[in-house]
Amino acid sequence: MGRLKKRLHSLTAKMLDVPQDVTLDLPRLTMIGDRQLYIENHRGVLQFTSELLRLSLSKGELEVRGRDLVMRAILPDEVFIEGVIAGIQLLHNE
Amino acid sequence: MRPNGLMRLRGYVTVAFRGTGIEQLLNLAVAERFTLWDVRMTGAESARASMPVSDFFRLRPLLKRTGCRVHVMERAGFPFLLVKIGKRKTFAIGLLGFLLGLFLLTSVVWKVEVLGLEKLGEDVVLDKAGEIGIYRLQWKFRLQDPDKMASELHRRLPDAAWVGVEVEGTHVHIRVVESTRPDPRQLTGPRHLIASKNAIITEILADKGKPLVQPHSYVRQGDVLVSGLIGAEGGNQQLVAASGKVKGLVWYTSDIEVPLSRTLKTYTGEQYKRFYLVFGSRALQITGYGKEDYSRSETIPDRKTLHWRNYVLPVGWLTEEVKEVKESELAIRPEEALAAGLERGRADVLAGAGEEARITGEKILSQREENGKLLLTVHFEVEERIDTEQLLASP
Repeated sequence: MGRLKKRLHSLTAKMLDVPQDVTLDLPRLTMIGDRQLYIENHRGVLQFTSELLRLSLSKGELEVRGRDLVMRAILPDEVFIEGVIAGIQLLHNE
Repeated sequence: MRPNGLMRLRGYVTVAFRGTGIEQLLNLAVAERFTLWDVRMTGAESARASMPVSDFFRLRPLLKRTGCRVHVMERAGFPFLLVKIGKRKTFAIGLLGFLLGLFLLTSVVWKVEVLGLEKLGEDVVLDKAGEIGIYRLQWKFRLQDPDKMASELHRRLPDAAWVGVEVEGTHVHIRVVESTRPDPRQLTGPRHLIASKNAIITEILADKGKPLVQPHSYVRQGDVLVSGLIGAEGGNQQLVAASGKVKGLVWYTSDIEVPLSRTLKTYTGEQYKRFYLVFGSRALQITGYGKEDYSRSETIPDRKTLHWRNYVLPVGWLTEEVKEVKESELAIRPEEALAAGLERGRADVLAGAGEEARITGEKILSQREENGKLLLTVHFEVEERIDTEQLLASP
């Protein structure tokens, strides 16, 4: 996305009070306690073990730490994780 | 993700991956729109995942590119079930045989039921039904359309006003509504109508035959009233069953006794109750001992038995009410006694005179009192049917 377009999108999102993931291509995380995590809008799996899941995002990375992590389902831009989730970290590599 | 019904139908496998580029493999698979679920790492360089069989066959190029190896751990779903069945031939044949047997047994008519018969015999209907193909152990698919069978059966049963055929599972119900027909005329041989009593004819109505008497003529018992012999004497005489209605006045003399007093039973109001427990046919009295005995009394029992559904239990209880009764004589006035006596006399006479009888006159011949009774002799004149049949032997 061009910078102008990005700013335009951001402006529209602010003006219309639309959730930003819709316009700005941001990930949306839905978490149920420490057992289930639903991630939309990712850009691929970078690393996956039973303790750590690293996902690529449109901007940066997402790290999920925990125990016994299992991908219940995986689709091109959605991941559904189950297990005991200890932490989520967003990394900006810019 | 739980595999849904469609996934089970198409079959799915659980596979184990080995290799270094498992994440890459995952990304590639997802990019290729594989359906993957339950992905878990079982070690540093091994993972496990489930996927449909169709996706499993698309996996090979991806494995080559990432240098992973795959091993099938579990197979599930319908295609694998088929393979399993294929290995157990006898079982499969048995299963098929069972299904086939079930199908065959349910496509046979097991029972033909005939409903609504009154005069027609069931065997007759079943026989006719058999002619058009409705019988036990007949194939259901060989039966015709129920409406067609009904009309066909109706054609063969002239005594039925309506026939309905209904196929319900393995049963065939035939409903028959019989037509009501007039009773067949009774066959009668040639006969006369003769007088059953001495009487004066008041009315003669011959339906068939030759009337021989006129109204107001006096007939004796046994006289021919309507002759069964008709036609001119000579060659044209013919014997018929005479029929008709002949009425005449008959005289009766009745002796009637009427008592001039009447006993009346009245309750005095004195009463007590007895309570029994009943076991089978034995009763055990519980209350009501030691009560005075009345010289005259009436006992009204009220028995209660225990029921459970349709069963009558042999246990119950019985309440008896004992009431004292006083009897008193009540004199009846002679006029009342006379009226009652006449009323009784009329009823007695009419009861013996047949249906169409009516009293046309009555006369008290004598009346006297004797031993507390009123003795009456009454003459009744009754108009009644006096015809009776006399069979004629054919010449």
